[in-house]
Amino acid sequence: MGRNKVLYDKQQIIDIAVMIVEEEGIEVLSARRIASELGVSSMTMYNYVSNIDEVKRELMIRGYNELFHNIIQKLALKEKKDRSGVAAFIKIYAEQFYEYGEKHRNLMKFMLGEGYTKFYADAELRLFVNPLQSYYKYSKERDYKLACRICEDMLYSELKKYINGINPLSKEEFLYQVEFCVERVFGCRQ
Amino acid sequence: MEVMYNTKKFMWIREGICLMGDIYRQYLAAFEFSEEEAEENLPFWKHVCDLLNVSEEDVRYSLEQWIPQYWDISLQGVRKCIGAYIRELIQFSRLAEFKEGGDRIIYCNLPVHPAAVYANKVAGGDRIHISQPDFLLISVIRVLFGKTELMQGKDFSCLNKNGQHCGKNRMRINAQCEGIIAAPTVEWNWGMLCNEGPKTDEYMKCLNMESEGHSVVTIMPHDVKMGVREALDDKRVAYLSERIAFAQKEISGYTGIVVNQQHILKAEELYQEYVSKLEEMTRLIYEADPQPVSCNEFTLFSSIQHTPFDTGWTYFLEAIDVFLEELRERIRRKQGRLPAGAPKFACFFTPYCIPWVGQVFESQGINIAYDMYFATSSIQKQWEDDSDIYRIMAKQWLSHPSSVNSGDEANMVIRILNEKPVDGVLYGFFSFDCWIEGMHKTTIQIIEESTEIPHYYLEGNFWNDATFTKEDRLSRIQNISYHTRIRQMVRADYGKK
Repeated sequence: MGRNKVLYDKQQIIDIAVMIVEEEGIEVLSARRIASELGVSSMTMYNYVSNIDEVKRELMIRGYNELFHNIIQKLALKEKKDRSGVAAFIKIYAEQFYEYGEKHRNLMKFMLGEGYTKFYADAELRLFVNPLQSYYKYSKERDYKLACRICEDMLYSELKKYINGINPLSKEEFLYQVEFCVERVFGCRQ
Repeated sequence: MEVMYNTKKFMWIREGICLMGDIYRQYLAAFEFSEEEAEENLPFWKHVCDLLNVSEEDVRYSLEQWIPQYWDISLQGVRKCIGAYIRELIQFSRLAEFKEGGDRIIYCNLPVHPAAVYANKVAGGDRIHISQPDFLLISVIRVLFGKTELMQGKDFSCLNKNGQHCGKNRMRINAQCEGIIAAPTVEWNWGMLCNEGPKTDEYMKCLNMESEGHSVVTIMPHDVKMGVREALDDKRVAYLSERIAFAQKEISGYTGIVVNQQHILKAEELYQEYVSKLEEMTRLIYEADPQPVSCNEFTLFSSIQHTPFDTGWTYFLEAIDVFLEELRERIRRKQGRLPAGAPKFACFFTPYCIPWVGQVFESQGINIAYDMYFATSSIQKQWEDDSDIYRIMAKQWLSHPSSVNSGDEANMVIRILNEKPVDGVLYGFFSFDCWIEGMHKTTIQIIEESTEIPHYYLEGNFWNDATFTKEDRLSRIQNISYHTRIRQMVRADYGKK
């Protein structure tokens, strides 16, 4: 195994980490494995990242980046009246999250599992690991906050089942359930 | 020689610069030194560059690429402002010469109340010189040249982890070892925020064995109850004002220059003139849509809010007057960096030493509209009616968000944000200081709860981007931008702002 390659930036490490996680899951991700794939020593790698958690943190940032990017593109296609409000956002968010999970099952498993547990209070990530939270947390209306939270919990619960292959819903069933929940919970607030 | 600017591409079209080969003279001319001034200052400017190990190539790079890339130097006010920094740097490089002639030198380090230090200059005139070498060196070397060499190397093991990681401390120590910093008569250290500051001073003194320099420390223990409004706490104001007065007496003892209330009042008056203009600048930029300039331009003016210059405020005031006129003109023409309606952010402390941050936010469609660390002038001016100048300064100091307990800080920032609401607030860049970093991470949640404005945290190092590069931080900034845009798009039924 060659160990004399040069690393140019941290992004090379993250690229390899994404590849490993996508193919084999977060369980196999380690500094040694990344270094081996890159053909450098672990010490070289540690010149660019402080520890493996930093790599995992970057995976979260990258995952949410892609997800948010897709959401923006979807929102931009809609008329203003059809995209206003958290309820409208939840539907688009749910659809995009589901599609993201179809393409990046292992990465999403990490984002909703270990990644969430590890980073939900992280200063940089706290507004992103749970995007709905960053909307409803500012509202002083109790019912409104509750509505957001219920929808969010349902959403994540179904997504987790889907990516873990436990009694998963099809995309149509999933989106119908999201819409049903949003309409009942938000009611006339839409 | 005529220099033309292409504002759109920030490219300089120069006529004959290369042929002339005198990039140093060209540099001074580009930053608004008149022909006579350039002639007079040229040897000193070359000396500054030698002293700072800035090569002819570095000067050329700064003039032709680095500065135009990050600062809008089609604005005369910006060029004049950079010129003001250069003038101060030239003055700083001559301190050893002045000292040999019998003059006294007072150093202070960031941050200080500028009027308190400048009062010594008012009292002593040309016999006394003041400087803040840490700020000046780090600002000039990073802002003008983008260089980091003075932050590397040397053994910093005597400093604790935070001190070692602070680029400013490292630069001061290196500069001392390289003989860049002339030994002062006295060092006035305001260890108000960074209690590694006094230790760094002592270490530097040890390194500089020839120095007979004295050290005066004005320190304020951070032991007040969370949430206490410190500027209204009479005991605290009295304590700090006594500490400043006592320090001034000590300094006068070392310099032989007596500073009275009139001197301080004069310094305060000059400082307030600058602060008022700064406030107007902040208002114009904040209220303008589209925003006429980027955060890099306004930070050049505001970052000296806690820095007394030996050359005084004259050049800055001249620069800011021109800049204000240029801002008004751009606002009249509705000329903006981004289209109207682009989100506006406030930033706790715009990282002027890593100017790509503002630029990347702009590339993601976000304006950084003002700097909370510097947008405090109106709060500070409310203490003008106190009869004791030391109490005024103490109250002003305790009216600054970063000088007080985090509860008081949060309340101050909440007042600023209520006065000037924005789409988001950017915090961070203090990875080298786990004390400030930790405090910010908790304080922002208090502010967020009250203002309902999302606070984004960006890990980074304010002084040096060696470990947090533009490429590494890009996806994170995109993240913030996406979140903001989604929020803008969907907030119709919840947004009250």
